[in-house]
Amino acid sequence: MLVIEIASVSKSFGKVRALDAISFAVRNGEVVGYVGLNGAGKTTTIRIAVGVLPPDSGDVRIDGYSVTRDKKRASGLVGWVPELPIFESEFKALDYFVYLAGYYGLSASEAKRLGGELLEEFGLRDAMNRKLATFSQGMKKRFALAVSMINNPPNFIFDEVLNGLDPQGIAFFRELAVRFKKQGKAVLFSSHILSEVEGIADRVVFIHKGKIIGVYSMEEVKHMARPALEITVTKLDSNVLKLLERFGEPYTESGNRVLLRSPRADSSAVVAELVKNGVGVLEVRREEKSLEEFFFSLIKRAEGGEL
Amino acid sequence: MLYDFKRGVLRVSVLVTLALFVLAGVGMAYVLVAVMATMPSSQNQVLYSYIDTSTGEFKLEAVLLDPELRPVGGEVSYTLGCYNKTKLRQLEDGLRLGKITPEEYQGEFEKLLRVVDEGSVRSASGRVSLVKMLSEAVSRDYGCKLYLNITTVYGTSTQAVRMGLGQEYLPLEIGNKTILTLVSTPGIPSISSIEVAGESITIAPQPTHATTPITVTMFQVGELKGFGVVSASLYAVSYEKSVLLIALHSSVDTEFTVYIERLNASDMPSELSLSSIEKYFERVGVVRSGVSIVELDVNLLRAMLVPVKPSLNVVLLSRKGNTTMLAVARATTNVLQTEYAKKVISMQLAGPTGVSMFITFFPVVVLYLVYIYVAKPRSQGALEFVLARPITRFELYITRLFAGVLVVLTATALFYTALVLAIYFLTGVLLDLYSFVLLFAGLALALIAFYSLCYLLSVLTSGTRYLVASIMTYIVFAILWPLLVYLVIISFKGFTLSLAEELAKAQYISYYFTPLGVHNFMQYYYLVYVGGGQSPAIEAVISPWLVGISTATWIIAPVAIGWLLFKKANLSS
Repeated sequence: MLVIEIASVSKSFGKVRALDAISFAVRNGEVVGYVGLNGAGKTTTIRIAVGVLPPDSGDVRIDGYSVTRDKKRASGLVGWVPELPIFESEFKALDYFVYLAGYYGLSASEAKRLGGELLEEFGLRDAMNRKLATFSQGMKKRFALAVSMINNPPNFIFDEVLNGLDPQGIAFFRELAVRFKKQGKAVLFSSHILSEVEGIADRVVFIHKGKIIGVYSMEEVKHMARPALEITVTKLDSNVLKLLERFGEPYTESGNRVLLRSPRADSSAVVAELVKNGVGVLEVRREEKSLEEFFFSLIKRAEGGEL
Repeated sequence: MLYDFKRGVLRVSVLVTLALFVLAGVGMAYVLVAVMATMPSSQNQVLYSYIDTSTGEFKLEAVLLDPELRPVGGEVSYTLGCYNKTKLRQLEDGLRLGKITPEEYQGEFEKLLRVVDEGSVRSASGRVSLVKMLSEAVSRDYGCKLYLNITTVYGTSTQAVRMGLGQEYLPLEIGNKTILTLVSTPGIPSISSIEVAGESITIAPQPTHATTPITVTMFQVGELKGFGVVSASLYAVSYEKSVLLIALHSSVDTEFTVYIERLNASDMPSELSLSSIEKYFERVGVVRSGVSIVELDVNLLRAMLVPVKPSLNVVLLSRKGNTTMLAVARATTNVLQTEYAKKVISMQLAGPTGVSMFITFFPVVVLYLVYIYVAKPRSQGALEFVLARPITRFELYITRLFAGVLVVLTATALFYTALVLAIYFLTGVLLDLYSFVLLFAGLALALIAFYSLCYLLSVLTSGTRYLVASIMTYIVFAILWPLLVYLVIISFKGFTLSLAEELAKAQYISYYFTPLGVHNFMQYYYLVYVGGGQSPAIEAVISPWLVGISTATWIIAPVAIGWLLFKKANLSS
């Protein structure tokens, strides 16, 4: 069952088209990384997904409930930790928790008890009676998390949650995402750094300038991010590919250029072998691709495609 | 909704606001009372004073009364002035014989008066009593006058210290002693002397038509006979309540039983035996020398506040050993204007120093409320986090709207409750429910309409821009509005005879076009209710239907337009 389903969502701010028919889904027990540069449209997508921003067209369904037509139900089924959580900061933490808990139908005394528990669980025990204005970014995120956990929803959206956190905070939220996944929740985890979602995400959705430019499983991403040899030969045929298969995974790129992924030997050894078999080698380039380079190559390709 | 009010809205700033409204209510009551107390107006009081010329003892006793003849706290400052009667006679003879001109007489006449004593007494209960020895001897050949300045919550009465004014003491000769006495009761009093009586009373017959005794004539009595003097005023306060105000001086210190003629007493003989007094008279109380208020359980009125009898006989009777002392007075039934105190206060309330003062001040509080509920959290982006809870956008819009409306209603109710209670504690006057509802509705609806308008502004703008926009709106509607009306009317109509009426008319018409207008309309209805009717020209432009439509439009339209915009609004900064 698709639990966070983003269906053809478009949104413009004035003349700027922020989202252009975005579609993807997050399943139960899955963490989906949502990766894009700053300003790519991640936060806009998420604000629409949690029902605080009306889309121009398209819809988001949470466990089948539309955030535009059935917002109340949908909002009850999804938790949200924004990148920069903003509250009415003149309130004290526990008071504001109790206020917001009222929207989940909790009585004041129930809300107070639960607030005490959750705020303590998320490391805010000593800050419960402090004004929200005095909270650091990390504390605000923990507070937003505590509020989102009021009814322990089956879906969770973290927006750039690791931004501006100390290593302890980063570890906390990464572990939390994994824990949620193990509990069978659907988790959408956005970041502008691909490596941040490495080790958490099962799949990665890449967004650039309001468009999805790729959806890959983490396996694929890691795979594609391995180093490769780009070899330009004088004449490319099946024979050459057969030769190269001994050293790794060859992919024909264009014309007489071939990409050898995960090479098991040095470039000189590969060239020597080719030459020995009568294949002329025009150029050999070693590509050391990190996750980020992979991400940028995706962007480059998308922009190239646009041209 | 109420929940949102309790948990989300009752913040410190709102509690401060509510406290402010209570303070404003109490403060308003004090302002009102202060304005009223300093207004010149005649004050009712029962007064008793004597000067013992042989010892120089001076006594002053008074009870200050509110317009409904209940004792009311205040201050009395008195001046005792005396003059040589022989000199006065010489002066009068001189004038009569043409020895001096009237101008000379006038000058000399004023010079006769010498201030013998002055002082002031304050009393919270309204009962004032003072006994002292005069530092200056007053010989039996002297006449004296008392000048009083009285301030109560209902106003201030003053009397200039001049020979021709003041209240005259009457000399009472007992043996070889002369006591100067002064007894006075308000309204149309009846003054009679206390005599030693036999076994019967002579009763004056009921006049066929009501005469108005001229009280001044009583003071022209040169000398009192008998053992004392009594002044009595009979008042019908309402259909339930009547009082008899008595100021009595008796040279013998004894109790007098007070009797009043029964309303149904017919064919009263002109000579009445003391033993059959109870047949025609009802015993209503006991008084001694001094001032007394005797409450009567009799209704002296017929319908339309017409007295059953224009006057009633009052008998004061004292039996001590073999001596019977008696005073018979024919007391005119004074009819008190009902609920006069309330009327005075109500008119004050509706006046320019009354509650309308606050219609220029409270909207500031309202625009601030909208700022903290919507404009500020919206500009910060804090509304989005609230909206991510299981509520719809409409619910968010409407809960914050109603939260503010509830605060406005609560604040207005607190303001008026504080005001009404403070007035009650200061004056004893309790406003009736209808007045309360009219005033409350006027202020509350005007503030809600203004809240609604600010709410729309908070959707159109946010943060500081909202503050600028709402303050401009406030200035236009709460301050500039009447000025604009004046400007328009005077420039179009010029200075004409009917300018005042034109302005008033235009003001009222303009109230349909401001969110605060309903307050003025309710004020108008309130004025009509308490009896301060308005001119027909104004009446002609006020229609309850238009008032209703204008108010409803001012409240609903901004909220509705606001919602259409809020529905699609981006709530992030």
